Amino acid sequence: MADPTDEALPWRGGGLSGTVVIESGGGTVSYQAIAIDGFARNRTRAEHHGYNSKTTRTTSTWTPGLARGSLSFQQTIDGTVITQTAASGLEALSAVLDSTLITAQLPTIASSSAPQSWIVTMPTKHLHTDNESLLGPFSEPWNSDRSESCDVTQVGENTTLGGFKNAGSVTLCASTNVLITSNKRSPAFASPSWLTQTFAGSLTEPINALRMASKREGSAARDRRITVSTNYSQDTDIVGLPVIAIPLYADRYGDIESGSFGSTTTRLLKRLSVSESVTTYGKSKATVQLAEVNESGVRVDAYSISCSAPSASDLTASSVFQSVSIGPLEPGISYTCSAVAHTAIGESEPSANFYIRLETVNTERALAFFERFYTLVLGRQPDQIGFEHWVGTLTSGSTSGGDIARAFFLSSEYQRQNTSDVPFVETCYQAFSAERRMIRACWGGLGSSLRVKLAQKYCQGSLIQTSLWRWQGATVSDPEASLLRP
Amino acid sequence: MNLPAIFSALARTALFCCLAHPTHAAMRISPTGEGEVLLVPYYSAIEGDVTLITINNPTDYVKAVGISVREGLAGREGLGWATYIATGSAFTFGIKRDGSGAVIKPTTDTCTVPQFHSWWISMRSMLWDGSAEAHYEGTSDSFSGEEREQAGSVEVIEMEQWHPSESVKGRAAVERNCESLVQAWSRFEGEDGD
Repeated sequence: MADPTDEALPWRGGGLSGTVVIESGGGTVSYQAIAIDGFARNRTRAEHHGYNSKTTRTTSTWTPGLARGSLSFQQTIDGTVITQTAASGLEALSAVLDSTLITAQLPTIASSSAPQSWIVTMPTKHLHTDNESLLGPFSEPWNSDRSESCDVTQVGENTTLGGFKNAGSVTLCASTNVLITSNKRSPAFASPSWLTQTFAGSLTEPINALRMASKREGSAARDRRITVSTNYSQDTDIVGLPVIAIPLYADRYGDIESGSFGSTTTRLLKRLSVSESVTTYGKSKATVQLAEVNESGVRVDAYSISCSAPSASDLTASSVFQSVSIGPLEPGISYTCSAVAHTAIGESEPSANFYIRLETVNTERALAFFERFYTLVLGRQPDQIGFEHWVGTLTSGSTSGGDIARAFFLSSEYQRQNTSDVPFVETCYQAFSAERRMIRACWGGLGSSLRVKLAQKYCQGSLIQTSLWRWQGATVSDPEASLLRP
Repeated sequence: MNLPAIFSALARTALFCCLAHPTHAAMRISPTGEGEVLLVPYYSAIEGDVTLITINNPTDYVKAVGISVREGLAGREGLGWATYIATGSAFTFGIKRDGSGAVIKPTTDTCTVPQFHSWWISMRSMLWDGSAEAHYEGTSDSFSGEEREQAGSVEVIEMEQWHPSESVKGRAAVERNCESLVQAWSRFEGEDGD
């Protein structure tokens, strides 16, 4: 059987996938096996020591095992991928499952308020106990601990990477642990008593404890493992729980016949709300304010917006804040947009569509506007520098029409004219003759009851009168540049 | 301060790090669902439940995988074997209840060592029921019955791979020459496996 070619191939392992179907009571539940990559690819061959090889990588006739040999592993903590080395493949695997699946599944469970049943199991639970004292997570001490008071505390710090003794951990009382296999609606999983725990409490507490611990640890101590653990009366060693939940049923979706592992989209995490339309004037960017409709308790890492229009390029933007700016917008085009929230366990459902439109300033009308103001208010032709300055600020959107009106009428140059009330109102009305609503700016900026009366006398239009009354004494803050739209 | 020298040193360090510690080698959960190790966190043979587990090998190589079915209380192995999956093929096996324990049988024509011979094979509880000496302290568990076999987890670990036609084991797996693969595991004198 010896064949040199058998061992000649360079290691290019991987590519295996697995599916699981559990047939029960006329129904089925299916899910994908968890695939681990990079496990054996970089392993070197070691000497064969009979039944127990010293390496994880085996030959074709060696019994493989997960426990042997040190192994580097990748974790994603707080969005950062880090690579570390554990003393054994088991510890590396445990760390990966902890960091990946706990963060993926626990918030998913917590995010749903719908009654549901979960099977939670620990494929590597045998990895999380001492060889001298194997303890099953479903053993009797677990049950006995359920009656204890519930305190969430952080104990100790990790002293051995990947180790379980003295590991930095969040200790949860058993009554709030996350081992849930109620399955009241599923006769398929009427498990024996040692495998079944009916959960009666809230999952918020362990989730928050995990988050708090993560924040406390921070980026400066990412080599510390955060481990969900429970109190075992038989042994004080920390027993980690790489919890993997199979969502079997969730009322929101009816009876889910196929659960999935690590899925990031099986649960509605958050729904975002935005105003139906956003219009921006002059600026090539629009700022959209997002809000969360439902408080799922899942931390949002970022928000993003995507917009499209039939005659323009698609736009995307993201922000860690709920205020997201998007651009460059093409003028005169209505974009159809939606927003999503990004969390550690996936994207939220997209928001309802909203619309963004960029309205541009008509430069010609802006020029006429300023010429009229220079002529009527200041009584002269515009100087080049001042003229360009005002046109620039108006067309860029950085200054509103109201601001400009106030600046002209409150300028020292106009004040030196010492204009009485009647000429003032006349000038003001003429200056804004093309944009009648702008007359509000005059009155708002000056706020004189006498001038209100004068305005009533000279400005006969009912619309203008209404505006005057409404705006007397008000500050000028309207984005009046909108009146200069083409 | 000699900045060019510092940058040069940093560049060399970065290059060394990249070459010496290729990130692709680190173990991680595969985002594609394909990998060298597969973990099946839960199977059930409780009451009338039957669990079918399929391991797919879509690659161009024959794969040898070690499969370990572990009971649900403490994760001790109840049955383990090696399977040789041909190129572009799959191996499926079922787990169902038998009496108070569980039995396992492949449903595909795939070479295994030991061979199943189309029989349902009982899981072994010797690692926790106290019937055999082992370095595990199985009897310290709170529950030591063979009912522990009826739910648990499965590990699948890739062991080796070969070209389907250019290697003896590769051809054996493709041609279902299972006896030769069994012999490869033999430890008897005159039939030493490799």
